[in-house]
Amino acid sequence: MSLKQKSLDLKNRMREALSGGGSKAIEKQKSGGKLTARERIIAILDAKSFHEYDLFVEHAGRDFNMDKKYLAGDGVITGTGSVFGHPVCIYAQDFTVAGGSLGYAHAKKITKVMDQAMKMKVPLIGINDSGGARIQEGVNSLAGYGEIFFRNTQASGVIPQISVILGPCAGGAVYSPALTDFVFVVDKISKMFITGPEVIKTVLGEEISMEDLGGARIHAEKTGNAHFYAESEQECFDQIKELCTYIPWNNKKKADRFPKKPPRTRLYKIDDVMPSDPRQPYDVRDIIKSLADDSEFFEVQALWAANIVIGFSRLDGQTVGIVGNQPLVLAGVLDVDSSDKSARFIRYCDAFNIPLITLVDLPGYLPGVDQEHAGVIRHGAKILYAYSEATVPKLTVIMRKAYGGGYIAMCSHHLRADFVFAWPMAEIAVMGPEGAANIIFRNEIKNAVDPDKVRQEKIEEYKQKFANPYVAAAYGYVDAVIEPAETRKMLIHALEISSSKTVVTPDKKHGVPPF
Amino acid sequence: MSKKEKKEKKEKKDKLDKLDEKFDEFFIENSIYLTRVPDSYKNREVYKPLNEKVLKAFIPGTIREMQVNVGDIVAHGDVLMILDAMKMNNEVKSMISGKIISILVKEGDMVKKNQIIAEFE
Repeated sequence: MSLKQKSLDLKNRMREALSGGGSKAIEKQKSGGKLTARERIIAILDAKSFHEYDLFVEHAGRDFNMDKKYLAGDGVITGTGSVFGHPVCIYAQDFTVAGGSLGYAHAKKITKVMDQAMKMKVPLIGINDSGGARIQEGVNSLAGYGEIFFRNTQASGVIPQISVILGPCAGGAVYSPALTDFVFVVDKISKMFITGPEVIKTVLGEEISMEDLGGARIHAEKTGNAHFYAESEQECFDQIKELCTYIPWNNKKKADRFPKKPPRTRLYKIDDVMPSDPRQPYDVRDIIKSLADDSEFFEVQALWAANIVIGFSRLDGQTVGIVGNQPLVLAGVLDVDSSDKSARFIRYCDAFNIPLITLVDLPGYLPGVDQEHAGVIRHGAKILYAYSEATVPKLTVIMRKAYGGGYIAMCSHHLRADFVFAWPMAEIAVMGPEGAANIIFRNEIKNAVDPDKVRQEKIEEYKQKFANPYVAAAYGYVDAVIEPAETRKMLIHALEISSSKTVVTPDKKHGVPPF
Repeated sequence: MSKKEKKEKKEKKDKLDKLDEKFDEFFIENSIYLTRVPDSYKNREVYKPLNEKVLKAFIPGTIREMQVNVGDIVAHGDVLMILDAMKMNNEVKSMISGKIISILVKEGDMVKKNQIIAEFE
């Protein structure tokens, strides 16, 4: 063969491999509003930055006549590229090739690119679109999943891991996304479940559609498995890219610093957001926007456990992770799901050197049999654990109510917040005045000629004495009582002071958090 | 309209919507809070104490091998029937000692989770 022929031979081989599952399968893929695997990679990465490897890997199936079949790239595309100039490793399962099913070689390609990501310390983006294990390859496909899960766990807290669910992701396959940091889903396209509707119907007699069982909305709103929900694949890719601007490439780096920008005070100003009536709710996201650069807040898990708000913003150009009670929903109480949601986010920020800002306004933990029986003790403990364990700069602003266990849990000084600020309308107390007065003055109220009158007097007395930030400030549990308008300035200064924060932690292999 | 302008327009609308919103009243420790109470909370299962005199299917499945009749007196732990579920023959045992006053299923019946299968005196 001449050089020219060899070059032609390469071109032909590439053409075959790049054709995926063929035009019919591709047409079917597109008819459901889905892009092909390679198109998805290109859409996420910077223009012309994608470099593909292992294009000529062949599948390892030897039984059931599989050896006679050609599967382009064995149903998965792997490579490297960049997002806003930052290098990333990426893979995308190709549903057009054998339903994106995972066999030995398919898994080998994924684990190889995962190993590269870990070696080079760059983020890993995985696009899932697969019918599941390739049954014909038996235990080798199970081995493949296991190898992926192990690497997900090893990489956790070292490099950011992003999972994008753009098709089915069923059975054991769901556990790779579950082990990663951020899961993106798209309406009507993403489907995640352990056992599908058919098995559930046969075994349990329960009938449910695939969408209601494990569609995008369910995971974004009900299960909390998904972190970002989009209406279309394009919106999802924009979200992924936006997330990449807030996080560092690996755990030894800091997120990129952006040019500083003031908040857009015309629309977002704390004094306008905060109602004068302490019973009135407000949207804590508007407070965040009043504090953040350009009033930008990139919310994580916006639809699930909405009584707590988590996400990223920038202060003076620097990425911060924000956790805020949401008075707009269930008065901002902590419960099973909101504790779980915030604890994991706190640990993410801590692992990736992102300072934490906590905005406090909550009546406490949610009472009720359902909460107690759902394990609010175990789940509620997670937030205490996560805050105590975190060594990144931790800044706390007590806006209004900080009662009881909720006060302690929301990054109080006792869990080693670096700075705790309180607004003048803050109420830091063991419980609300109505509850406290009923207990402390029980006998006086009971024995009074007019119990209601005495109760009101005692509630008022308690309010005067304790429903303020000054008792806590007198003990140094609050570092400064500040005007709300001063908050951004104070936080930016506290971040500067904390930029070289070092904490000596006890010598241990790892803790045992209340998982 | 640019992306940024669109965003600002939406933000302004959100702001106005919030001003008009009517909130639910929510009680915690004798205090009333105005807030949104999601349907998932409103529709949550209210706790009911366990009634030992009513035997319910603990798992959906098919009834096999009925081993008791109405009127039988059984002891705590006696096997009453087999419930075929999750590829297993599960023994349905009596939770109390007492007289069976009704059996609401027969062999071959499919039962749902928490469906009442027998009642005791």
